[in-house]
Amino acid sequence: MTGNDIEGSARAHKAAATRLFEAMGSLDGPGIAAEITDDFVLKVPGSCVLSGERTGPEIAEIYGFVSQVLPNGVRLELHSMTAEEDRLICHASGTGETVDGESYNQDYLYLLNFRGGKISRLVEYMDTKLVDDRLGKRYRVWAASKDQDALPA
Amino acid sequence: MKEESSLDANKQVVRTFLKHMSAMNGPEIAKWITDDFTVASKGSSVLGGVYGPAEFPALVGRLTETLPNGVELRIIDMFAERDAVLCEAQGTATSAAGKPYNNEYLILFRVRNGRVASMVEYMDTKLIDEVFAPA
Repeated sequence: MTGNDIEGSARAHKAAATRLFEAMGSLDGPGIAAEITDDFVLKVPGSCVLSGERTGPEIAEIYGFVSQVLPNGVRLELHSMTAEEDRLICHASGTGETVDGESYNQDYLYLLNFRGGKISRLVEYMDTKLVDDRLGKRYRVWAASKDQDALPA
Repeated sequence: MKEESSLDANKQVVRTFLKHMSAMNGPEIAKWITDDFTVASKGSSVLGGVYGPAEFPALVGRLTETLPNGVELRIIDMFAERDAVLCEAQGTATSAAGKPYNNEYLILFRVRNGRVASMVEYMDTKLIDEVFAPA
């Protein structure tokens, strides 16, 4: 790869990441799907209620929970991006309000991996303590009702 | 290419700095940071905040008190652009009270003239409170 190729690839990855975050902010399913691979993985590191590694239907399921508890979504402001080869870091801050009227203002550092021009993995580093403080109680109720639904009749 | 070698040099600075941070070796850490070095621990944990040169020794003291054997850091990935170096790492440690402290880190460094000028750490803040401020 030449220097120009490398710069072009970094630019293309930054543009794809920007489109993904815009689509996520506006709950644009097709827009999200256009930027990710079929085997896309979403990982939230740590020990909070959202922590774990998810694919396909598991992502849709947890996204459904987050949409319930943050009905107006999280307004993301992108601050900086750093890219090299097939990975990129994006620093962003988010502003939101829970369904209980509490503020949910996060600071994110996203790690994105690319394959064939699409995003294959997104790792979301954030304040896990804030996640549990604001979303934990409702998550436990949601998880319990999900388990109840899964019980045989 | 000159830019690539500069990026590699910045990565090496961060690797050396992290080695001394893992061992909580204050005098060696001091050799690898700028005079106006800052470290930001993101989030709402008991360690959350921005620490400048005046506050940094107290932070290291608090870390050493709770994690007397330091943190063994395994670097998973490192990449760089301009003056930024990103490091994804897994830490393994045991607290003075015997609790495991195995945090996952994503750290954004800024390197200036061969020294680390700033460090912004993202990690599991819930785990920090469980170990550094047990209920």
